[in-house]
Amino acid sequence: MKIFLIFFSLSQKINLDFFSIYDFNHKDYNALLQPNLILSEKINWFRVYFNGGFYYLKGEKYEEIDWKLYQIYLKFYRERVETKIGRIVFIPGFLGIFNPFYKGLNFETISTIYEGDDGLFFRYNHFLSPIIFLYEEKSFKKINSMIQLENNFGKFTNGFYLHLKDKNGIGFFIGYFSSYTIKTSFLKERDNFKLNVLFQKRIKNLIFDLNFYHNDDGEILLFPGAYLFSKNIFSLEMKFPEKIFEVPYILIIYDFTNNLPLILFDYKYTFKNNIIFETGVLSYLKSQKLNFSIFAGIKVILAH
Amino acid sequence: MKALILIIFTINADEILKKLREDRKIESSRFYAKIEIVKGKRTLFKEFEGYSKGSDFYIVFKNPEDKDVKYLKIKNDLFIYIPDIDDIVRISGDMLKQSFMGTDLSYEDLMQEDPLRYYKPLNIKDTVINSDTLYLMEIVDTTKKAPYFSINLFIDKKNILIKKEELFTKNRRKIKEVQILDYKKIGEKFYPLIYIMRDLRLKNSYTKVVFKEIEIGIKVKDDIFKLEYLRK
Repeated sequence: MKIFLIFFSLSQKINLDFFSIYDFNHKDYNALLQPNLILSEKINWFRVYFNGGFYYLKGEKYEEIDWKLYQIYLKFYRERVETKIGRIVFIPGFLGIFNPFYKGLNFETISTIYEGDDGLFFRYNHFLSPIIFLYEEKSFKKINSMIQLENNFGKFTNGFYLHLKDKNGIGFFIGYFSSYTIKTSFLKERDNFKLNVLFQKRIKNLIFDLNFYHNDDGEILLFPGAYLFSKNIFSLEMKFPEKIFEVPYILIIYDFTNNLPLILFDYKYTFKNNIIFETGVLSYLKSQKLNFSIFAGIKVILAH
Repeated sequence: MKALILIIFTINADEILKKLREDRKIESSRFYAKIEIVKGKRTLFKEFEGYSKGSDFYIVFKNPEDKDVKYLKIKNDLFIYIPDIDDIVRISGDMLKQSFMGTDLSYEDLMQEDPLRYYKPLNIKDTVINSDTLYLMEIVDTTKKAPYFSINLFIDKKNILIKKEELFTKNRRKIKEVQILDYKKIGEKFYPLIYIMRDLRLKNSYTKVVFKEIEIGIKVKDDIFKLEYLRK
């Protein structure tokens, strides 16, 4: 009884997600059912956060059923000090699909959920806001660390990033925020160099993002229904911030490495306050052949 | 005689504008508001609470879709807290001119310390709306800093309260219309409690803002307008 009372007193959010993709060229499909529960509560200087749920992925030739714990942490916050322990998401530098510091690159759909790493996080909010994140690399059972310094100065946000692991990495990020935005991030690893330059401009009711991404090793970029293995990418994103009931998004990518153009059109439609439908098309030209996939999803949000 | 009429008009219009500015000036506030966004047959609701100090504001969303998303405006910068990653994204100040969460209001419309400060009266006359005799005062931007070039203000004569605003561009195109449906008297001043804003460039579209709770001139901690507060 007590457990139920505690549960209902917490701030809750339940997402019921269904997402499916069909690739016309490979005649392959993927269907994902992913209900998850988010609980969050503040008690004095502490905050508890939980994000987990059921995961069911069905493909043409495979099936995965699992219970997932995406994030769970206890946060302590007092004055300028912030610490977290548990399964934590930390995205260094600037948030974005071509962030060179963040593991894996992905395109956000309504079913995208950030999955954390088990570790300890510390931030001191001051002039340089140092962050230290110690985490366990699951596959090698090894402790790695990320260190970041960040400063907001006038129209600039600048930072330094250090990733201590088997391939140590050192990086910098600089952002300029004015009537236009420029964000630059680069990361030097022992045998690799990654760079991302983003130029963002609002023109009337549209937001344009021009992105350049370079990676010496080449990197797999995952999109709904397709992936690229590329060293150099140029992209143009278009967002329509005035739209609220229907949220269109257009992403045009030119992959220099594979000489591959790709276009993605994503459309989210809000039925009511808590039901969102998403559909889209991904099309790319490979070996003079037009490939395309369609995807669709629905998200129901319940909150208390 | 003409000069005398002109002096009377100037004093009258200037004093009315001064009174309106005094009433609209909000040094600090705490609020809980509901927004109804109507586009054609579709309606969406947003709920948020927060604080303002001068032109800075802090907002936390309460509706299911945006639950726990927080906005912090400090000077010309906007910061958004995303609960899924427990972190902050900085947005360029240029984005403040864009629509607030898809409504007919811009971020600038929503929170301005003294929105009429850029304007001077151009003319004033009587007009009748729904059998009420109101002042119709036209004010124009003399600083080139205002979001709208000129505004027609329809003013209740008894309490000197704005009942309606028509917002124009420089080429005299009416782009927005605001109707203030209800006021709350706090101390000696009246504050808009319910208003409807229509973006006339969009068909069948309006945004209704209802302040369910509002406190004006309260002591608001400086800490709220710091980035650290967003992560709490």
